[in-house]
Amino acid sequence: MISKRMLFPGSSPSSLQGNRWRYLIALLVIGALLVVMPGFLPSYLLDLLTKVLILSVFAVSLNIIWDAGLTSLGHATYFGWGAYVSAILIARLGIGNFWVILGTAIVSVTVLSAIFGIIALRVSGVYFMMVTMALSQLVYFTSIALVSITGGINGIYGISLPNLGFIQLASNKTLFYFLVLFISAVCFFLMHKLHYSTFGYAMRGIRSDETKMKTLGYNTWLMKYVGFIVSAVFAAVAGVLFSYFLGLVCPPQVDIKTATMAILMLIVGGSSIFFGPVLGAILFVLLEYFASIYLPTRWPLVLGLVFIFSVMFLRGGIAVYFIELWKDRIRRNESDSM
Amino acid sequence: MFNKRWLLLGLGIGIFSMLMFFAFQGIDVSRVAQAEMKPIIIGDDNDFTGPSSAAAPQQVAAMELAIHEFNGQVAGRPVKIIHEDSACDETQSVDKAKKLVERDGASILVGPLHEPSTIAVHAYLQNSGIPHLAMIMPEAMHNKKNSNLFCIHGTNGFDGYIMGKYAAEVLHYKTATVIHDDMVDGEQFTQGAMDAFVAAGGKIIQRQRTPINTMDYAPYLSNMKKADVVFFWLIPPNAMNFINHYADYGLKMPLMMAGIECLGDPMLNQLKDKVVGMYATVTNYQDVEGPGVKKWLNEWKALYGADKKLSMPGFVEPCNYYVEALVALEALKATNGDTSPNKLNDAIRALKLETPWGKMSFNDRGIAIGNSYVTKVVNDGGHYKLQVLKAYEQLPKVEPAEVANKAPKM
Amino acid sequence: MFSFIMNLLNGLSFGMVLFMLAMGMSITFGVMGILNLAHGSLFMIGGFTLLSIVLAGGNFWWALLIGGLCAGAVGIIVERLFLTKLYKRMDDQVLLTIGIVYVVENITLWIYGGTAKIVPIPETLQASVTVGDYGFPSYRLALIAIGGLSFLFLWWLIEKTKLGSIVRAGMDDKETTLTLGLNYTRICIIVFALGAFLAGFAGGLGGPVLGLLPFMSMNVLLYAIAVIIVGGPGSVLGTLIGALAIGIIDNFGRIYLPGFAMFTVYLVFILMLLVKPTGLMGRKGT
Repeated sequence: MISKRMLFPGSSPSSLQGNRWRYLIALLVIGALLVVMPGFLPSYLLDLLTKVLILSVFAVSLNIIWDAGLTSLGHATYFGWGAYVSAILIARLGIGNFWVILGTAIVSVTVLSAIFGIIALRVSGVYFMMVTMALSQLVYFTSIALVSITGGINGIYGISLPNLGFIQLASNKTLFYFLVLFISAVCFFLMHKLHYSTFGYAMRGIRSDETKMKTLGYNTWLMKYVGFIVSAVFAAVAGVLFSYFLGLVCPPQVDIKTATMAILMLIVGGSSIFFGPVLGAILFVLLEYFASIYLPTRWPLVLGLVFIFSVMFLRGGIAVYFIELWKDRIRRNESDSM
Repeated sequence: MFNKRWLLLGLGIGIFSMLMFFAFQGIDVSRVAQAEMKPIIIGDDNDFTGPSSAAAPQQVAAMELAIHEFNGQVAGRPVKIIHEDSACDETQSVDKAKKLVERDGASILVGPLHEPSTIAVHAYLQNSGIPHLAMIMPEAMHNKKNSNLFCIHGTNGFDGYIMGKYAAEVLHYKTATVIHDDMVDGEQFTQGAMDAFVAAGGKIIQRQRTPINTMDYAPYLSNMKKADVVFFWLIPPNAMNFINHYADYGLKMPLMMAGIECLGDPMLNQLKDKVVGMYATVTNYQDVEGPGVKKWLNEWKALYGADKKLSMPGFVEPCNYYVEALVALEALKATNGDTSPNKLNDAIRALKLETPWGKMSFNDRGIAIGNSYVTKVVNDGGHYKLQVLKAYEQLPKVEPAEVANKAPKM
Repeated sequence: MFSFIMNLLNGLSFGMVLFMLAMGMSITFGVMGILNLAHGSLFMIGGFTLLSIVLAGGNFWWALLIGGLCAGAVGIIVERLFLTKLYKRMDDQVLLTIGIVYVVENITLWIYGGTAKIVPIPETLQASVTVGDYGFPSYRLALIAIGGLSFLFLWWLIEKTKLGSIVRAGMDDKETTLTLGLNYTRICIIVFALGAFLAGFAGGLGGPVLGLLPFMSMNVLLYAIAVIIVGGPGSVLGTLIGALAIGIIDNFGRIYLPGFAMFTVYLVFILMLLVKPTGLMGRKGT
């Protein structure tokens, strides 16, 4: 059994405890800020914040399999699937209840990723990338081809804000923000538990040395498979929220370009830290917003350069810098107190 | 102790706060400024990056030309246009529309070129009700009386309708084969042509739908049945390839495109002899001869002649954008600078506009009533341009109900 | 009957373009194991370079070579500046190439604008050959011929020359190659440059058939990947078979299964990945 002690050999129990408290406090402070934000922010900035939350869930969900060493180029498949399922239920079947829609999306994406997982996990490394890319393209072409269901290349539009059963959110963007905040908080909580559970550590063990994990008795295929499905589920949840956010769904949401967006958030933010991709999402949304105001025609160029820069120089992502700073402070505090 | 990491953190926070400052700055300005001095804003959700971006600089220039004609002010207040990039992406279009309306305080929005984006932006604009001068009229959006949606281009089916009508009534063609991009636009354009053709006694013998990412049209050309005429509609890059391959494969049937909206001067002059003889329908375009157009082109040259990239409008979209800007400005003049949405919507509906391409007005469903032209590509001494064959005057730009959907479902 | 021949010829000409496109990626992938997602961009660079030269009055055939060399140059720069620094970080190498796709796409848009471009065919090949009721452009026949010649040349190069044997050694067994004292870095440069050159050359050649658009790189890339997986990375004959197969399947699929045209290629691709990931003729050990 791998214990947390074994994985962090350098840290003493007391600093780990101390860290945990600081960690919790930091989270609570940020959480409180997020709750009161609507009071300060004008609505278009609140929209950006909503977008950041949704995309963070998307990016962190990718991290679940990325941590296991599986580089998926097709993660947008599940994100877009969630978005499409909600749009189809609302627009084609007239189902309005948000919880029903969320539930259907989760169940259906579990089935989809279960099937795709079996196909994709037959290969590894570069071939895995290609398979996930090809599967993503299949779903992309399906969404264009089934015009009567999916609205073809134009997609489905006119999705109004969710009906929660007891409240109709109608045009109240602030309430929608709180819904997104709530759902993403739940998602982060669950993913966090997963990340720091035995399962999570084992997944990271698979990335460093799969053979060793196998000799230790872990069924690595099963773990990767379960991880694959779980990450797809969270991506789909983000997708459902996104379709409400945008008011429409369209084929580009299942395309490779959306998948590379998630990958960018992941590597810029940092995949080794749990909240790393959140930083990546914040940066990405801000960058996109400002770049397309000040440099509209050159925005994709900026994006590409950021990509190249992060891959070349930001080993571990920006989040790693913050963590190192934090650790520096703690080490100095400890050496002071000794 | 200053080490590299703290510096970097400080730098990061510094940049972050600067950006936040810029974000907040916009609001303060609009709150503090006096109402009389505050300029009227027309928002332009344009496509600068992405597949429809070919004519973006000319589109911006055309709108600014209209502002120039009004000397930058209307009813005593300064007026300006703020251009944003929608990147042919629904998400971006709505984001930018939000910015234009909420942060910049736009009173009128000139919509994106891309159909799904137009639908998305229009849904968003229902909250504020400000006039939406759309560049394209999606089927799903018209048929609403007295709404805030206006489109000088009319529906897609209408362009096709004119083409099909001409083919059957003037050229007396009896059979047609159809080919188009497998997307809603393609369906609608060609459906219009098919309906008019069938209503006038013609017969459609084949319909081919091509995937959007098709690069090589060879299979479809080899599969094309012999007919009197080919009706087609493809997005610009595909249209170029299609016409190119069509000529290479030596096919001789006359080509009819429902709407030149997606091909422009630079493209005609690339295809050269391969595209001579192709028919197209246009509404506003530089090649439509007439004193009004000549005067307008001279204005264009006077303002932009020096800039090589902007030597002429080159596409239909810039001409349309000019007319849209004209609509916005004339409406503001009519309301005497009053920017309340209801007054503006009513003013636009009541407009009787004089454009370089003739008179124009709107019907109660926001569809323009104006002139449409059937043209043919000719070689004018080495310069390839459109020549008007027939003008259909003052028609509401929508397929007449008695003709709509007459063609068999293929 | 004639329509069948036409479809076959169409498939062959499309397939030949795919062959040359995919060949470059095949050897890069085979030797270095890198999935170069910027390969479509290299194809595009070759095509646009050819366009500029021909429009300025240059000779088509020279323009082809220069287009290839430009793409090759870009390839070497990318390899030297970026990919070597990421030695052994396979995932990062792929991600880097994604960034390059964005950059090249936007720069091309910047220089050439967003309209599609027509590549003029050289004078000598502008006629068409009659096949029954139809006409088949002689340029495409020339394409098939050039493709065939390229195949023979590349096959000879890889299978019969010393250089080729070094490349093949790198594909089959990297460690032994290193222990034999062969300069692996030099091999990588040569391979990458050759792969990029072929992509650029294919881009120029394919221009009249596929058109030129700044946004075409991803589209083209997906075909290339399908070809090398079906044919087998590293094998010249395999790539040819894969390319012709994909070209013909794509063509016939568009006519006989119109709604599913886009799926046929992908389904074949996924099936091959599952059944035999090394492709029809792939070398073991990649």
